[in-house]
Amino acid sequence: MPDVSSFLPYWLWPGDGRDPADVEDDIAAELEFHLDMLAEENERQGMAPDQARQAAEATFGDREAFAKQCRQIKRGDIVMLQRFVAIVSVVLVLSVVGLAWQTYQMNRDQALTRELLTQNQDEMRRLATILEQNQPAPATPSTSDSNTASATKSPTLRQPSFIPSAAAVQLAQQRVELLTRRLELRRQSLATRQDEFRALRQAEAKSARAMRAAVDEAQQKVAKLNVELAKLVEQRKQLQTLLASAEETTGNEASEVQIGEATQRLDSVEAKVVRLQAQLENAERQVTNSLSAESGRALEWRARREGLAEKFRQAEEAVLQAELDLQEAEAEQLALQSGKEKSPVQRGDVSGGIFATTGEPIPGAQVLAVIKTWHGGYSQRGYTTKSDSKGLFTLRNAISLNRKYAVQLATFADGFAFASYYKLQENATGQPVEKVELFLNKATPIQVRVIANLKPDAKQRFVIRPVQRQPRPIWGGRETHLVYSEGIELVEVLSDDAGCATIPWLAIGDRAQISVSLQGENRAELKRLTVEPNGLLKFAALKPGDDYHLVNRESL
Amino acid sequence: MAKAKNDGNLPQGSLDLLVLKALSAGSKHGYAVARHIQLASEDFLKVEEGSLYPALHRMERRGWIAAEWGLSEANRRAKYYKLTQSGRKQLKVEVAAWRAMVEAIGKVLEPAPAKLLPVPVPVRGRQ
Repeated sequence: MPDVSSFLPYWLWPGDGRDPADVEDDIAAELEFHLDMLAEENERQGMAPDQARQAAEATFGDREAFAKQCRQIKRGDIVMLQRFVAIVSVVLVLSVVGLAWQTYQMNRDQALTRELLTQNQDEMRRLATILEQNQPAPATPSTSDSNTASATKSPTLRQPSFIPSAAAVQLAQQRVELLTRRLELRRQSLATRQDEFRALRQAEAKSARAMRAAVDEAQQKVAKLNVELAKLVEQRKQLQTLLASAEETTGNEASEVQIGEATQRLDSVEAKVVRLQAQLENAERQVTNSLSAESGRALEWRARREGLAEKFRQAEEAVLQAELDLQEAEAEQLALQSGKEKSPVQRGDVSGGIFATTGEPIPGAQVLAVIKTWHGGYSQRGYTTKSDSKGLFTLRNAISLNRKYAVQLATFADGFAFASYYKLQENATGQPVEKVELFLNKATPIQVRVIANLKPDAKQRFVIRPVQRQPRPIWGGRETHLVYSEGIELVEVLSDDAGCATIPWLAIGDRAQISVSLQGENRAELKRLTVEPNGLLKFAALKPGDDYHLVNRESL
Repeated sequence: MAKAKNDGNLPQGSLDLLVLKALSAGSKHGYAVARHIQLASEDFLKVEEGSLYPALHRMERRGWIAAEWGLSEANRRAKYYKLTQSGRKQLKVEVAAWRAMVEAIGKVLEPAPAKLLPVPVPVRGRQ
């Protein structure tokens, strides 16, 4: 018999083909013989028969367990083997069914594709014939008469009637489903990129804080050493003066002692000065190193950020392309279902101009737009651009005109308060979007300081972002300007280590909301404020749980 | 000399070797195999005798030993095992492996003295 036991578990060993009852009897007889022999030996040594039997059983061990092991070795573990066979059978059956289903699907798809291709070819041939003959297509080929057709001299070309097959409709539907899935996947990918970008920004801020802390520490050390050195230099000067005056009065014993002491102290101070100067040099070198490491690291982060931003833009493009493809496929499906011609997908630009309230164009204004498109639910995408030298901007093909859409737009320009625009188009008209014109007020730079309530003296940097502004009305109620942020381009102001910052996008008389967050952290607090006529801010009262508060810098 | 303490257990993996060795002298039933091991080791090795049988059956499956029913000395029906050709080869393998193991353990317990480097003898120069 081949040695299968070396590579198979015992329950997979093939049985020896013997009747299980025979195997059972053999094992029992063999073990019984052993026990009898042991008992007889015990009896020979003087034990009573019962005692001899008990001692034999004790020497032998667990008879049932050994019998079971022998049985399994002889016959294999039937139950395990049966289970194994059952599992393998189920897996095999499922695989065969799966394979058959896949083959069926593939055959069906191929048949549908062939059918559609044949239909398209027929249709194309018919169109080609019509074009060659430059005559209207017969309404129904069965009733067409070649003489009648050639006699008709119509300059216009009639569209052939297109009766879609069920297969074509089904294929169009499948295509829409696939493209919907692709769009979902690409949106997920875009969301992942966005998360990656945010994580990178956080890591960058953390690294910047650490590098800045190292620079600060080195600078503080330099400052401390400078103070100590100045004191020592002063001390040295005093000692030198003392020594000079003592030397002038040489001759008596007291002045000799004074000179000796002063010389000693001067030597000691000189030694300290030399030591401190060496320490200072080291500390200054450390400052230089920290600064260069900080700028080097900043460059590295910038490169990584730009790399990731590029990937983000590619992901955005991929989403846009997937949206376009889906719209195309949906239009095709609709056309097939209704038996009408496919209406081309219409896309439109968002364009307009950014001007000062005096009417002059503002070049280089940053335009942030979020376009929402409804497909049952809605999707949205962020765009950024800058106005040209005439203050004009265009976002090409940003709108799908066949669908419900919304344009949300905000603009920022140096020296001007921000403004926004919103338009919701409920019914798809196919008409181009109206031109957006935004007129910006002059801004008043506002000096603020953010203070952490729990750590007012800690060196921390804060990020301030615009949320809303309501300019002082000339008449009527206040209009509201909102900032929409989608994507990775953000408008923000970063404070210095002391929390001081200049807000450049508000004007006198504004009621505004801004968000404040610690650099590198996601949690932001919303702050309401009013810009007073004197350029100072009036802040809304703190809410319970607020971690930060704002103050005017002039009031410090 | 005090005898080493015996806890009654065989060293791991040695049962097959002992059974094959016991059968190398001629065919035996399970009881005789157990007695052979006990006597040859001067009562040092004590097998839980029932555990012999799974080992015997496993070795039979592997083809190292062959079994047949016969009559014992007391004229009783007993199952006799004998070594096959494959079993003899296996015995050689197991003996070699065991000796290598014992030698290795011996080296660990009694390491050989470090080799001494020859000491250079100074050459006497001319005065």
